[in-house]
Amino acid sequence: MPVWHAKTKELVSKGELAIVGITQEQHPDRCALFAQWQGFEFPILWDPFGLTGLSVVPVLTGIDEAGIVQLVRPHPRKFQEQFLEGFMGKAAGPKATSVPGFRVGRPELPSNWTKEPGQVGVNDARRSVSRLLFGGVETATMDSDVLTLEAWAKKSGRPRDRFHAGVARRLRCDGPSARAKDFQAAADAWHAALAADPNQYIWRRRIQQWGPRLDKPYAFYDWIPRAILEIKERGEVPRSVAVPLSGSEVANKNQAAPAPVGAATAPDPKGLLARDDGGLVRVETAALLHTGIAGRKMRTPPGSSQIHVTLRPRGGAKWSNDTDPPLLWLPVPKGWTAVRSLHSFPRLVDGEAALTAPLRVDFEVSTPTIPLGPPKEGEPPTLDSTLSGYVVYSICLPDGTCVFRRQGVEVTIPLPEPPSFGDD
Amino acid sequence: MFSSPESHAAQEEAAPDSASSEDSSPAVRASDVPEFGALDPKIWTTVGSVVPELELPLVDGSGVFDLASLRGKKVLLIQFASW
Repeated sequence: MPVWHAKTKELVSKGELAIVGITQEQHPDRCALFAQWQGFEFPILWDPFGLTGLSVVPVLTGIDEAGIVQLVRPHPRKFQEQFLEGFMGKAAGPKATSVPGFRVGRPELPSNWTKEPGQVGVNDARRSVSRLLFGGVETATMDSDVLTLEAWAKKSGRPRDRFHAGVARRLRCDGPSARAKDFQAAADAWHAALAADPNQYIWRRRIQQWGPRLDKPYAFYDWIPRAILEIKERGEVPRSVAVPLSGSEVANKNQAAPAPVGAATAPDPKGLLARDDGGLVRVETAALLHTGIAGRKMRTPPGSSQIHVTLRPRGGAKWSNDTDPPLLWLPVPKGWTAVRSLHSFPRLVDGEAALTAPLRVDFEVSTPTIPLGPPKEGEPPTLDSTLSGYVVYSICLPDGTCVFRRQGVEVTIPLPEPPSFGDD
Repeated sequence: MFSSPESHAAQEEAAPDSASSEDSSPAVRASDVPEFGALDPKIWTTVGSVVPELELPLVDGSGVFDLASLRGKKVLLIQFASW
């Protein structure tokens, strides 16, 4: 997009052309940072639910004064003949009549959840999308809107409604009312939508953003550290990014996989540390599968899966800022591969807010190949796909006392169903 | 193929408005309800189509913007992602 911004700058400054952007990313602040970095001065609209209907981006459209599309997918190398002469030089068409089309509108008054899931209708879903879109992650009706969209997706059975439900789940995951399974539920909803419509590349990208390295067409947000640095060098204050980048979001499939590290020592091999039952820290896990699985019946997930583990202080507990960061011990079963078994969460950044902020780590694991054909006699029908381990951390109670605690972690990779043998 | 969001919801900690209760009503046929969820994507890629009203929030949180407000000007609409 920078090339179009540069080519049209003069037309915009003369008032002869307006530029508008629309992005379908989950996180609007990242696109706002991109715009600041690139010096974009045009408005960029946020469309995380994909209301424009596109299945792929980028798409450029030239619209005349009457609101009629006159130019589609112009090529920057044909700027003179296509854009300047063919579009800018062309007189406007007849005045367009208003198209009712589609309008979510601004948020309506908050409502309390009063309907049984079976009673949810399309207008309820529309209102919930509207509230989430315009209200953000701190929408007062977040819980009822998530429930509404999930109930509607279940009722309608349409892939797009499934996608919407996933977007809502991920929005809640990034806000103060996050639930333990929000991220996994979002991924499952997106996978279900993609399985029904594998040609929807924007939905595919939403999964790949957090998925395993080899499933990425490109690195998604590796530009952010460079953008922040360059904006600071210009003497500006970079726009903040609310949700820290995961390792997956900056991973690049063209770079070599991290080399496996040697055997690590379990941080609490004898199980001596006192346990936290989740009252001080909530453990949230999600497994993001390779999107090659969408719509196919296969026994082995292609490539690897990306495991995300989040630790979220609760009940007034705070991280201790003068001890080592939490550790995750998650060995993989025989035949699986993982770079390491011991994972360190990131160190705390400065500031009081960081003491209660969630800490996240993510990494890849690969399952062994599951042999084709029916299981042999005596063998389990499917691979055991649950990884078990624990986290250890120092956490401070509301009275200021800091304690070391251990908590069990289980991650289940949702393996595909076996194919029906005998079928083609 | 995959565990459904509903099955994950059922695993979550108890919430006052849990969605885990089963919906016993019959599924709605797509033809029974007005289409909701997206515009026809051909609007953006077909010369001669009329751009509908579309109001969305701005990514920088500074407000909302309606495409219809640009009537009377030539517009280059760029649908993109920062990745």
